[in-house]
Amino acid sequence: MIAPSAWPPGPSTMARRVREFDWSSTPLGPIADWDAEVRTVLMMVLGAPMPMNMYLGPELRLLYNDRSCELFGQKHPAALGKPAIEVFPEVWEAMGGRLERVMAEGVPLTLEDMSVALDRDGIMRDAVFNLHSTPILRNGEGEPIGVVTVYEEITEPVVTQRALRKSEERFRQFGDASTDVIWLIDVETGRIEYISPAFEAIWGTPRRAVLKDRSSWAQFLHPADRKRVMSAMPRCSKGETVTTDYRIVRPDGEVRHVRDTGFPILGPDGSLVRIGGIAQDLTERKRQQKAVEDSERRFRTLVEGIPQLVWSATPGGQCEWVSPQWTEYTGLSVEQSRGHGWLEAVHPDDREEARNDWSRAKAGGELKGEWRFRRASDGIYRWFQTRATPVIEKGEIVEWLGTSTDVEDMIDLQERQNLLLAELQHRVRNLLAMVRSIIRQSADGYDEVEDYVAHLTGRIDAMARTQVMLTRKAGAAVDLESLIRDELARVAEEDRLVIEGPAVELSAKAAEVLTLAIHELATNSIKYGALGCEGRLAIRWFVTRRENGEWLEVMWKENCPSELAEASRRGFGTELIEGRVPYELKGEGTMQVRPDGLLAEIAFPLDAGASILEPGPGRPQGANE
Amino acid sequence: MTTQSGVALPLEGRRILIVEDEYFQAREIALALTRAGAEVIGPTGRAEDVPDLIATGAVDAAMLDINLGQGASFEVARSLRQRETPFLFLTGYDVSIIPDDLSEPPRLEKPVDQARLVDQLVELVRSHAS
Repeated sequence: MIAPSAWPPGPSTMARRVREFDWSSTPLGPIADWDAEVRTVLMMVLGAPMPMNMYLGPELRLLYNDRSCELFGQKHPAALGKPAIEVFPEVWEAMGGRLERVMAEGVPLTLEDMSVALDRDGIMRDAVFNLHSTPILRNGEGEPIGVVTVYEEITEPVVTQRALRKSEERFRQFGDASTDVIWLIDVETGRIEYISPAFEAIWGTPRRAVLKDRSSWAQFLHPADRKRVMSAMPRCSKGETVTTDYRIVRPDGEVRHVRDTGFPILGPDGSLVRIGGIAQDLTERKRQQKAVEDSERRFRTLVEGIPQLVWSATPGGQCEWVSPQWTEYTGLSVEQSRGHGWLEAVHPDDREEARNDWSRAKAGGELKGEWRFRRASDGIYRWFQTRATPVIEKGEIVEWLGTSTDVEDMIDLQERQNLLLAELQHRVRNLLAMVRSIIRQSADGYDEVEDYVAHLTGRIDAMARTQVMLTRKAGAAVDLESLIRDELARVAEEDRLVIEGPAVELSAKAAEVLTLAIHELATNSIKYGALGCEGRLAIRWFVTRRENGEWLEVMWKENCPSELAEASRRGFGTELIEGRVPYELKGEGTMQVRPDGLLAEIAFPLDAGASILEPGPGRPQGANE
Repeated sequence: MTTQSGVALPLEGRRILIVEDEYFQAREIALALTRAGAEVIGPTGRAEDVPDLIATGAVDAAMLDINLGQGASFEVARSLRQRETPFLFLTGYDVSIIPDDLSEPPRLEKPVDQARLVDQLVELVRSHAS
C-alpha cells in the first residue's frame, strides 16, 4: 500500500480515486512523472460539467470524471486505469478503431448519435450523445500521447425530461385521486401501463392481477355482457373511441354497472401508441334512475287511475300540466289548458270566484274552491271540489299539485236527503193536520162515545195502512187491488165479493185518498148496506183514456136484498168521495143510493198527485233557486 | 155582518184567498175564516186555478200552502207579490225551505191554531192598508 498522492486536488469522487490509484504499477508510471499537458488536461476533465474521458498511452488507459460514472454504470469504478479495450470489449469494433485513429493520426474525430442507457432519477432511459475525441499532443504539437473524449448530449434537454416527470406525476396524482378507473394500455406490449386505484374500490380486487395479466380483467365481466364487451374491444385497437356499458361481478358476488370508454392515444408520428380509458361506476346512478322511474311510474299510475282530475300549476297559478282524465272530461289538451287556458272549462259564473280562490291560495298556502267544469261529451257543467297543495323546496313554492273531484252526485244526494227530510216533516205535519180534521169530521152524527171512537180509530188505522205501504221504500207505488183487498179482507167474506180490474199502481196521494174512501164505504156498507145484509159487493175498475191522459175509474156497486134509506148514507164517506176526490185528485166522485143498493163511482187522472218521494219530479223547485 | 152581540168580526168584508191542497184542511180554514167574517176566495189546491180566482175581484190577503201536491212551489207567492197582494205561508215544511226573496211574508207551520191564523191575516191586511 503506497501513500496516496496529493494530486490531482479537488473534492470530486474521481479526483479522489485518481489520487488513490497506484499508477506506478501501470506503464503510465507514477502520476508525478506525467507530462504537464496530460496533467493539465486531467484537471480539466475532472472539473468538467459534462461526461469526459481520457485515454493515455499506447494502451489507451482510461481516466474519467464523475459525470461519466453514470454512463459507465457497472463498469465503474473498475474501469479506472484499465486499457480501453478491456473496458469496452463489446463496442470496441465501433469505438476502438476511432480512438486508435485519433491516437495514430493526431486528428480529432466525432462519433455521432451514440445511444447510452442511463439511470436517471431511478429510471433507465436512453440518452443520445455525440462523442468528440481530440488527441493530446506532447508540447501541443508533437506525437499524440492520449485522447480526450467529450460527451455532448443531444437527447432532449434534461430540464424537459424533468418537466415530463412532473407531468407524469400530476397524471398519477390525478389518476390516483379519481373515483373513476383511469387506465392506459401500451399498444406495443399489450400490457396495462397504468390503472388507477379506483379499480380496487369498484372491482373489489387488487390491481396486481390485471397489471400482471391484462386479460384477467375479462373474468369479472357479467356472463351476459361478456360477448358484447369482448367484441367491442378490438375496435379500440383500431383507433376508435368506444363506450360500453356492462356489468361486472365482483369477487364478493356484488354486481355493479360500469360505463367504460376507451380512446386512442397517438404518438408524434400519428401511430397508435396507447389506448386510454375511463371506467365509471354507474351502479348508484342506475339505482337512483330506477328509483326515479319507479316513483314516476307509481305517480303516473296513481294520477291516471284515480277518478279525480289531477293537474299542476306554476307558483303563480298558471296551469302547467293536466292529467288525461282532465283532457277526457273537459276536452282541453295539456297545451290548451296551459296558463289560463283551463278557465275555458270553468263555468263563466264561477271564473271570478276561481280567480279569487287562487289569489287567496297564494297568500294562504292552500287552494280550496268549488267551481263547475264543463263536460265536453255533453256540454253539461258539473260541480267540482278543487284542492291544491304547494310543493315547497328550500322554503319556496316551486309548483302546485291539485285535484278536482266531481261532487255533483254528492251534492245531488245531499239535496235529495234534504228533500226527503223536508218531505218527512211535511208528511208528518200534514198527517197530524189530517188527523185533526178527521177527528172533527168524525164527531158529526155520533151520540155514543164508543161509536165515535170506533169509527175514528178505524179511519186512523186506514190512514196508517196507507203510510205503511207508502213508506216501505222511497217512491213506492201502491197496488190498487192490494189496497182494496186490505180494506175489505177483515170485514167481508170472499164469496160475496167481486174484485176485478187491471193491475194499477197508485201514487201516494191517490192511495191516501182512495184508502180512506174504500174504508169509509166498507164501514158504511157493514152498517147500512150489502155487507150488513147478506148482499153482494162488486168492485171493478178500468183504465180509460181522456183528453188529459189516462184515468182510473173505480166502481163500487152494492147489491142488497132489501131496500135502503138514502138519508142514512150521507156523511163522512160522501165528503171523501164527492169532496176530496175532485179537490185533491182533480177527479170526479159520485154516490148514488139506488133501490138495490149503493153505487159509488170514483174517477181521477192516474198521474195526479205523483209521489213526492219519487226522485226527480218531486224535487221542490224553490230549494235550488 | 156582525155577531149576535153586535161586535164587528175581525175579517169583516175581507176577501181572503185560500190555497191549500188538503181538502179537509182547506175546508176547515175556509170555515174558520168565514166565521171571522171573511169572504173566502177558493179554496183551491191548484196553482193554475189562482189567476182565474183573483181575476174576479180584488183580494185583500192570501194564505198559501207551499206544497200543492208536487213538492214545494213558490210560483203563486211570486205572482201575488207582483200584484202587491199580502199573503202568508202555511206550511208543513221547515221554514228553511223558503227562498230568501220570499223571507218577508209571515210563515205559519202546520198544524196551525185557527185563532192565530185569523190574527195573522188581520195583521197582514191592516199593515198592508197603512
